[in-house]
Amino acid sequence: MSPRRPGGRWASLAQTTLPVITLALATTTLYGALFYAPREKVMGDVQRIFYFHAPAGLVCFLAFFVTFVASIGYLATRRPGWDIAGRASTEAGLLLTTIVLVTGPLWARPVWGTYWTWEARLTTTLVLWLIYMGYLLVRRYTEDPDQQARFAAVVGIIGFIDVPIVYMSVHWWRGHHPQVLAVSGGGGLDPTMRQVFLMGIFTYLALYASLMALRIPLGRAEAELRWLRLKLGERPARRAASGLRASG
Amino acid sequence: MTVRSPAALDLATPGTGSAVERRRRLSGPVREARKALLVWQKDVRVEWRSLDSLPAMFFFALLVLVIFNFGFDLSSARFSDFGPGVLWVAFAFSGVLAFGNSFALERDADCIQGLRLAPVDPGSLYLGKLLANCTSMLIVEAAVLPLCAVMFDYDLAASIGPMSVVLLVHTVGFGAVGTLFGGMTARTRRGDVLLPILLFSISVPFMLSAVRLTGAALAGEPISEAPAAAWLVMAGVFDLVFIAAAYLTFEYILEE
Amino acid sequence: MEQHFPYLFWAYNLIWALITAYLLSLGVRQRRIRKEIDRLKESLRVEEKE
Repeated sequence: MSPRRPGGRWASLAQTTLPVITLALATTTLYGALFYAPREKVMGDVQRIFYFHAPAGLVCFLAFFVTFVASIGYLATRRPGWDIAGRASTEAGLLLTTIVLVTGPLWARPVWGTYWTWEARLTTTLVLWLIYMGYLLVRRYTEDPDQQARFAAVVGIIGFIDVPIVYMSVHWWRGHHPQVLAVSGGGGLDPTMRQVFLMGIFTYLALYASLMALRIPLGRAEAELRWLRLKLGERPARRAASGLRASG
Repeated sequence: MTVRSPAALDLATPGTGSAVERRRRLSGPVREARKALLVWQKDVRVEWRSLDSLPAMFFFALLVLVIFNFGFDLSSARFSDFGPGVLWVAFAFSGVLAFGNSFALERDADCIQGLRLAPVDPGSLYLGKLLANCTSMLIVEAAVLPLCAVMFDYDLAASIGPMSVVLLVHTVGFGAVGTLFGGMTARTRRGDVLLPILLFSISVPFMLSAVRLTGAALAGEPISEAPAAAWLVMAGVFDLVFIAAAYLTFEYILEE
Repeated sequence: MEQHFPYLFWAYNLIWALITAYLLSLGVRQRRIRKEIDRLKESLRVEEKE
């Protein structure tokens, strides 16, 4: 059975509108982060990185959850759509995780004087990055596409089960995540800060959706390529057989 | 002479009926557990006869200890400070050897096909392999620890009780994930490299716990009290969760 | 804002750089696969004619 044609009306609509929405939200968040949000008391203006750093961490968690669900879906149904979604979500999640790992040190340097500390959240993020890199590596090193999908699904499931355990153990190992930010000492987030933080979350959600909208058709195209290769693989045998009949 | 017909046999009463009928009455899980034990026995027997991986594991662990000694100046520090980390690095790497070998030995004569065709649940096969791997690891650990006591001049007898508990719990956990990924990477390219990458990243919580608790045991801290007890509970939960997850997903690894 | 500007600047721009790099890689992959698919479809058509 031929794989469905990649794209379609909704897909191409998503591919154009979602990035635009992302850009609009990103600009709003940038404005909010730099001008609307107040200056943090203790850390100063560098704290503004928080609005690009922390939401990425939350949405990457969502991405890996989607991978978890897609992995179970694939193992249960064996429909390639689940596998494609799982892979796309992992790549998007890894991109977001990389963003967290890059912005974290840039925030840490002026505040704590060093680029990297084995601080609980950063360490957890690093471990997550390694686990899901493993997901992609398993795919890269497995030849058979069906095996590839199955093995990746197992890693996707085991990896996500590990996430809360890693989080818990690293936090215990390190003591707790540093103080909650505030403009006036103690307390929680200032309401304006909370608004910008929420804006940041929406931006990253839109980014995640855009990445999925762009990656999934590529996955479908890869599947179509595999199918075409299989089909062409059959042809020569048939030609050879008919050739024999003609001459014999 | 009265002949008892099969129908008249009271199957509800234990001890009646032939051995065949009695075996049939055994519930599924017990039968599967028996099969797991059979797989365990097979692997142990194979290892005992060939001594293929145990010596390598032992010497590798020893080598890691020696290299650490040259890499850092361990003679001046207290063993309970650096010991846990060094020990678990050694055990982790020798464990990788065990997990890799556990499925590599099935590649010979395509034994893996035989296992697939045998009436064994993939889950039971996994449990058998898990038991075998844990056995290998525990043997190596039991051999390395006394040597460590000699090399680093430490009194191990004092902490042997808590140490054993910690070793057991964490070997099982490491083995749970290692056996699953060992089976997977036996069938991929560069599996020997993939296995440590997958295993060590997933096992981070386990490593943290192992080092923390081994340190506590060596320092004479009672592990039945907080905070060590919390780690022990987490490790136990980690073990159960991952054994369950691996048990359920192993069939997808085994598939053709 | 002046003292911390470099960090904010780099953080923001690196994020966009990472996203752009990923999207570019997607584009390259897409083009390569499209080309391959068209090539294979062509040879399939040629064989069907025979």
